Amino acid sequence: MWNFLKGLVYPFFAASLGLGFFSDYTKGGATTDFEEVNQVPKTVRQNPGIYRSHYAWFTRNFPGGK
Amino acid sequence: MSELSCPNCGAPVPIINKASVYAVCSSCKTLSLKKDVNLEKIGTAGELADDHSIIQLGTQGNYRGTPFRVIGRIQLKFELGFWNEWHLMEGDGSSAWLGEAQGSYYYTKLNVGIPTDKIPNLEGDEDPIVIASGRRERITPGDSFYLGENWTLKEIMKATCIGGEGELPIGFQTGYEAVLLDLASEDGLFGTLDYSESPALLFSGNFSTLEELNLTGLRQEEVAYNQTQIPAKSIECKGCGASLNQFSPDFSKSLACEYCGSVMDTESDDLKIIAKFDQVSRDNVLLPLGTPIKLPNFPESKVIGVLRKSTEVDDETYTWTDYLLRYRGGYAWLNENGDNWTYFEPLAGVPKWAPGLKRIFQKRSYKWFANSDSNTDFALGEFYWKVSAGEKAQLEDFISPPYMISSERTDKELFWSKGVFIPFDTMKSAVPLDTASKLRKPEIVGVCEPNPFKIRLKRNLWVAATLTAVFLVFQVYGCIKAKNQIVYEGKFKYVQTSTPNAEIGSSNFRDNSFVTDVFELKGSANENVEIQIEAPNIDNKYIFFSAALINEDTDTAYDTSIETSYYHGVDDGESWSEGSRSDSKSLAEIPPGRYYLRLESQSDFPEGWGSVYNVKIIRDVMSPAPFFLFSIFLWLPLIYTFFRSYSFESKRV
Repeated sequence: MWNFLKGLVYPFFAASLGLGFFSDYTKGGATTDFEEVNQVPKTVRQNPGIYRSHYAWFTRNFPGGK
Repeated sequence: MSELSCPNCGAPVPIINKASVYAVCSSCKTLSLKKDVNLEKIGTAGELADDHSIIQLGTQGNYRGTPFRVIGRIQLKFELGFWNEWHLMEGDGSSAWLGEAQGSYYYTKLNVGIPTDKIPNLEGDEDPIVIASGRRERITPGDSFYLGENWTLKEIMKATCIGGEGELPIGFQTGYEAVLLDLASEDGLFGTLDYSESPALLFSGNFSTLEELNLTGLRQEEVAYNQTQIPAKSIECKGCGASLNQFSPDFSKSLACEYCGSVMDTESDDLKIIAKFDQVSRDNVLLPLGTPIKLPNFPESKVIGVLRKSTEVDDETYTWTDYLLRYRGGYAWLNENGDNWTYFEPLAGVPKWAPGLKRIFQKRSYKWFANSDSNTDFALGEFYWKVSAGEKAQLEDFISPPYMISSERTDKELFWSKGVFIPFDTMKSAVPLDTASKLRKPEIVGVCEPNPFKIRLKRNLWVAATLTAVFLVFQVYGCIKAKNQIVYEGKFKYVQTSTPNAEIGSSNFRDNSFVTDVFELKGSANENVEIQIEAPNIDNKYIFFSAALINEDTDTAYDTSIETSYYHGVDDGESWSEGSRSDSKSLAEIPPGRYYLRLESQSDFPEGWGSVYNVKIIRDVMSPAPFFLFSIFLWLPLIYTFFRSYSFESKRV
């Protein structure tokens, strides 16, 4: 019984990978990690420095700019 | 049918087959030669031994569509006991023979297709030397002959004629001795070279089961088909006087006392002692004599004999135990080796050789496993041959877990058997509770124990291959379906305005961020966007971009980073390079709308220096990355399983 259950580990793993791939495929097959930020200042177009889009570990602050 | 008179006593002697030449009178056992319409006495047939055969004169059958009737018999005695050659008259009047020994049946016919000069001559009875094609060679089981077929010699035996009955196509003399060579072909045929005549006669045909013969008119119908058990017989040991049970008196030929090791010939009325084992130990005899065995898919049987065997490999002695099982209509062996159990059945024929040290039997390929010598250390119980102390044999094993085939070769015989691995739990449930409680769980891997990792590996390979194929189909379909629509293209120039490598946001960093023109992303919300940046002239430098794709209407930004860095050089005479002048990022599920890209860059260019770069934004791209990523993860565990499987195989003993 235990052997039988152990034998199921890989099929479950493969199935989860399959679901992951399929899910990814429906999203356009993109694996890039990106961050979605809402309510960025409307003035970014006139003053790009007001929004620091620093990816990931950089501190984001909105008030800066030239 | 004609009826002649016995020339000795005048009793009627029926002649069923016109082709019969010899007849034995059932009243006075006179053997007569048929001459026209008379019989001429040529001798007297000896008394036939009661060998518990279920066949008798008049028994009818049908073998593979050929009806036959038993009309005569010659009974012979050989090392293993009695053996009958039943003379059959087939439906068309032709003659055939049904050999019967140890519950096995052989349907053969005289093979007249072989030129007599091709049939090898024989010299000597005990140690026969075959003379074929002018060469003299000592023969041993396992040798090959070509006589219309490729035959392998299975057994050399010397038979003594006990007597005969009924009608026969050949004459015989009670007490005559003849060397017989039993042959088997790789195609499952059976043959006998009978040296009672010169040149020898070749009889060839097939191994047969009792069921295949479709017999009627049997002597003991109830024994054959009605499951009536012949009762056990009580025997007093001639060596120590102990009371012993003979569980299968119809089958066994010798009985080894479990107390003193004396082996008695159970065919002789006076139970003559024929051998003696010096050491008798019932330690580690896990299945006592008489233990009933109920293994799934095998007939119910009983342990009637126990053999302890050993072999020496590299000065180390390995021992194992063989339990002889008897069931109605046959016998089998249960082998216990390191607490692993294997059920063996006798194998008709000789498995074929195949390239790569393999044998093929019933379309299954068996890999060579081991060669060894075996010595019989002691025996308990009864056996179908006259067991003796110190019997030696050469063993050869081929495995295809859970099955294995083994050959056991002595000077006189080559015996093939097929085994199947019995899992510990199955074995425990096959014996009575008190016996099961003494069985030990094996700590070593059995010779033909199925490798769970191999089974798993095979299945996982199948799962991985199937899933990879599915991934590939989706990938190819995705590539075909992708729009690859370029929604924005721009050419910019990066010029270093800060101290090189200044951190974004630090005091010596001068902000150089800018935004592109607005562009429109069409399509559905689950389509992706790919941002590509290429700096074609960058050389031993990098430009890092913090990128934000910003929706002008919703003020939502999608932040990512892109780096173009290309370095190269020569170290110790070897050129190297790393990085790439271009990079791209795909952002999944970007809703349609009006967007612009905000870029902020950082580099190791000196102040005032820089490079041109191109920016491209593409809607709905199918990237190959997920396919490769998932495939790698999918196949990685198989490497682990492969090594576990390999490790299991190396522990097989």
